[in-house]
Amino acid sequence: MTTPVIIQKMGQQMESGTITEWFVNDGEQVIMDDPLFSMETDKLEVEVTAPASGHIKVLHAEKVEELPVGEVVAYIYDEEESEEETHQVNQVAVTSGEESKPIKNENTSITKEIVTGASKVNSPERRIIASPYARKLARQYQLDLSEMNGSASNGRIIAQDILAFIEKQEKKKKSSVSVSDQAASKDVNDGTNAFPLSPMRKAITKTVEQSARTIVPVTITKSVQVDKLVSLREELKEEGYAISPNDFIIYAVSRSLKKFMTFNSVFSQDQVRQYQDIHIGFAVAVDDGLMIPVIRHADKKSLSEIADGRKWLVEGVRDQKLTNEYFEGGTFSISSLGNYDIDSFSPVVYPTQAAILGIGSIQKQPVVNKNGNLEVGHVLSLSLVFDHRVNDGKPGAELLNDIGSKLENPIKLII
Amino acid sequence: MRTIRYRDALREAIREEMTRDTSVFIMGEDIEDPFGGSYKVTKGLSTEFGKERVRNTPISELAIAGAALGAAITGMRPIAEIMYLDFTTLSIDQIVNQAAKIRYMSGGQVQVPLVIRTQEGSGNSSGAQHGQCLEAWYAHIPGLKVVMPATPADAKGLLKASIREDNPVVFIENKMLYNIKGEVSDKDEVLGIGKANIIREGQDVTIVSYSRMVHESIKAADSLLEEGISAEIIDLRTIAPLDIDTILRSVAKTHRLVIAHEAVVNGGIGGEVAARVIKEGFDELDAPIERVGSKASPLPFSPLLEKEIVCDFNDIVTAVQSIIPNAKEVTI
Repeated sequence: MTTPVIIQKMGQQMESGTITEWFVNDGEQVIMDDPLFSMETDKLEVEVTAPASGHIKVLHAEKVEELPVGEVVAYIYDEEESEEETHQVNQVAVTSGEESKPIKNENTSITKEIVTGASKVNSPERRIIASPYARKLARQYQLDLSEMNGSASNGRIIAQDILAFIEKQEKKKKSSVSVSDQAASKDVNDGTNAFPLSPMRKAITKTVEQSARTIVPVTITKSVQVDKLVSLREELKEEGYAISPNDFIIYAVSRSLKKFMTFNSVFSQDQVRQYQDIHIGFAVAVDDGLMIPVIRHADKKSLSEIADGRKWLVEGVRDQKLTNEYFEGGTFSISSLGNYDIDSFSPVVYPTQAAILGIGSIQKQPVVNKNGNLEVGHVLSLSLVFDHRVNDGKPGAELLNDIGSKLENPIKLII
Repeated sequence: MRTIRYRDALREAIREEMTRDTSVFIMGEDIEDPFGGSYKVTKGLSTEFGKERVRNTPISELAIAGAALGAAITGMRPIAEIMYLDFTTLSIDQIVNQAAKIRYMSGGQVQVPLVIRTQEGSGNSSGAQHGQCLEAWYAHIPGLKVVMPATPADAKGLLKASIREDNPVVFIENKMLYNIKGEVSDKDEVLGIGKANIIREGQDVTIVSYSRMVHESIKAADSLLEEGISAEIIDLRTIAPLDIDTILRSVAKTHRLVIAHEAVVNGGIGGEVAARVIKEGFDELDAPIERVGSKASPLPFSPLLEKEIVCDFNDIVTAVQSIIPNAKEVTI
């Protein structure tokens, strides 16, 4: 059987992908789930794995070629099959469309191949038919509808198909977990304890590795005196508004970014791509990792909208209620260790962004006031980490000063 | 609680409201004793309240609606009985162009506490001009409320609410329901206009219905239960305003929707309900929405043909089965 490898749609806006590196050679033997190539989209860089085992025929070997979603980039052939024969079969299958009518052919075994090929091939022409509720469930459980068969008329995927699929996956997972448990226990003798990575850990590993591989980070740090912000926050609290320092920072950053849009961009394929909108991601710590939900159009939101939105997102992350879309599309990130009594730190720039702001704790420190005397003030340390390929130190300092002055004199926030 | 007929529940509502408020009166064709109205709803009222407040009119539906409207805008609370919903076609100018508009056009200065009481429905060979279900026409008019009770308790509680309502209400009874019995509270119970009622809870499908089709929906649900399908039945009670929230909550639970009414399918309220659910509850739908209604034909006089044209519980059962996978084929 022939399995095509296609450019899959990874995000709603994704129209094309660029293969940056092939990990296998044409004609090589591949095993299902082996990484085949790395692909870059407008949002992320991913490793595409083999959908089946067999030997591979690579169609688009050239690097850095932008390919539309749905484009077939390779075929994987079953081991016993000859490439030519199955290639033909596949082409016939595509023209025969979805009807899966057996085509009259003198060679009956090939006829059979056509039928199975047409139904299993995930060709771009095949539209997935699913009920709205089934699609909602698939989003919720992050499932790929193309892997399922529909049981309703017209092959429509409905809720019961999703539930059956989840059940099947759970069973599979249970059996595979027990295998990896055994593998872990074998390693005890070398003096270490092995822990398999959770899916979230894996994702974080991948993201920070990719950042370290590509982004050239520069960190600049500034301490700002935030006494006015602290007292403003108290006043707002008395008025019944619960606004955290992070909300002020998100608000200030989103406004400052409008003047420094080069920090609201990404370095991609030898060019800087500036995002048109400002969507601020902020890191939320959870057990075994962190997640970065996104406040969309933060620059157009009021302080209380940001506070409410952030609270809702943090709760959603902790309750594991948020679907993928809430984590997509960030254009700038903020990471705060303000609750952990930290002076300052340099967070890792997200691979599809150009900068991140690290927030330390608000600390009481001696400061020199206007008259040259010492007094106790509230001091907050801001660390801007940015991709040096996109920006230099001077604009970085200007952006950080702009953010800092807004936080030092929050009256500027209302202008 | 007492068990009384739909007809008697309506009469009680009128009597209680006429007793409570002397501005309430009723007018219509042949409603005085000894005849007491075509469906005997007003029987005894003219004897009790006198012919001043229970008035016979000439056979002119336009005059009945117009006179009642005039009384309504000058401080009375009239109930105008139009013998058949089919005949409101003669009074529709007064209802649609006048009653529905006056409060708006007077900048809210003039209220229109008018009830048009009428009845619709097939089932007794009343023919093409005496059984049409035209409620969607009135539900389409901004400024009108359209109430369609299915049970004696709702008939009483909603008629009282309609009489006390300061805006025009088209109150549509069903001729096949006058004899049904049901429990009715002894208390002065006034129901809210615009609130649907969940008649029966279920898990697998929501059946939205009103008026006589509620009873067919119950029969259908009983039959479906034997196949292991549990249906939730919603009685809309009023089709304007439409209680879309109750419907959406139910669809979010069952993920399937069937709408059943006696009116013909095309242009019926079912289309409105379906469109609202598709827009506001799109992500909850696991199957296409099914509409059950009568076939698009003038109502035949022949009982056999009438049965063929008008929908019943079998059609509801078939519709539910068509959207629930693995449902058994049923032969009745």
